[in-house]
Amino acid sequence: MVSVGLEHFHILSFIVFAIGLVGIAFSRKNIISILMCLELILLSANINFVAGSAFFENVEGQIYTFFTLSLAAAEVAIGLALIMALYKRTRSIELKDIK
Amino acid sequence: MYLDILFYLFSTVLVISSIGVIAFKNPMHSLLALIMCFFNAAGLFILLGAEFLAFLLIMVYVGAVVVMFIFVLMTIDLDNITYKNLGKMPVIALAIVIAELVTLLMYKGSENIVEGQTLNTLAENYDKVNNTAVIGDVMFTTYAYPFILIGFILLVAMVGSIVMTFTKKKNRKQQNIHKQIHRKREDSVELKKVRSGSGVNF
Repeated sequence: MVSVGLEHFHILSFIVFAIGLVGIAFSRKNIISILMCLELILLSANINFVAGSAFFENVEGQIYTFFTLSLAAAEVAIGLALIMALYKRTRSIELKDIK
Repeated sequence: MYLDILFYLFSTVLVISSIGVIAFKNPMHSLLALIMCFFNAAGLFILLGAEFLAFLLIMVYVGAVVVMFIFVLMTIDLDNITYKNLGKMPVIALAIVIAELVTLLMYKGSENIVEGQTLNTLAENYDKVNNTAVIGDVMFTTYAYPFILIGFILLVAMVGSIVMTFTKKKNRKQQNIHKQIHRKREDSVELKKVRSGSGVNF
């Protein structure tokens, strides 16, 4: 077993990113699951930032992660408001009903 | 050594639960898997010595974002959501988990990106630096303007989501203050002389 380095965090973040991307590409049913996959992708970016900032001993990566966190919160609020407005109009949150 | 084992534990559970996010049929179950993801990512952050961000992740994501998701899911009628057909998804998920474990365990980089830095050498500095104090030092000096800007972005998000979900009722009774104040006596009161024994015509 090799001691854990920065590469391991990169591999892990890539795998989480790939899972989120697969979720967006193949789950074409409802919008809420797409928003959740978007959260996964943002989380993988955050893991990369924090690991880089810890290994290079530079705190700015963690500050960018802080900004990403607040932007993700704003984005989820807007997205869920859109879903609620859509549900009020069409009584459904599925992608095939929007088309 | 135990830090490495903790890393493998956290990352395995993170990958398994993030597969759960996209594989569960019921959106509520995949939300619970998402919560599991965030807790394990917070564990990884603590291993890296970023404890401020770890607890921020739990507070912001699990405390606010996921609760908002659950709120919307409970408002929406879940029976209307058609569940996706899984098919070969469990087999693929298992293959991904095994591949990830093998890759992480067997990985020997041709050269380390950061020379000689491992999780164990990072851990020696944990007691020397105060993570929250360091972040605060940089954020309120160099990054003061972006910090204010983030506040405005959150304000715009709040106003936008309120405007999008706001519905105006048509038959609601409400006061028109301008009209009420500018009412004159002549508009509403009329004096009539009434003889005794006869009525009044309006």
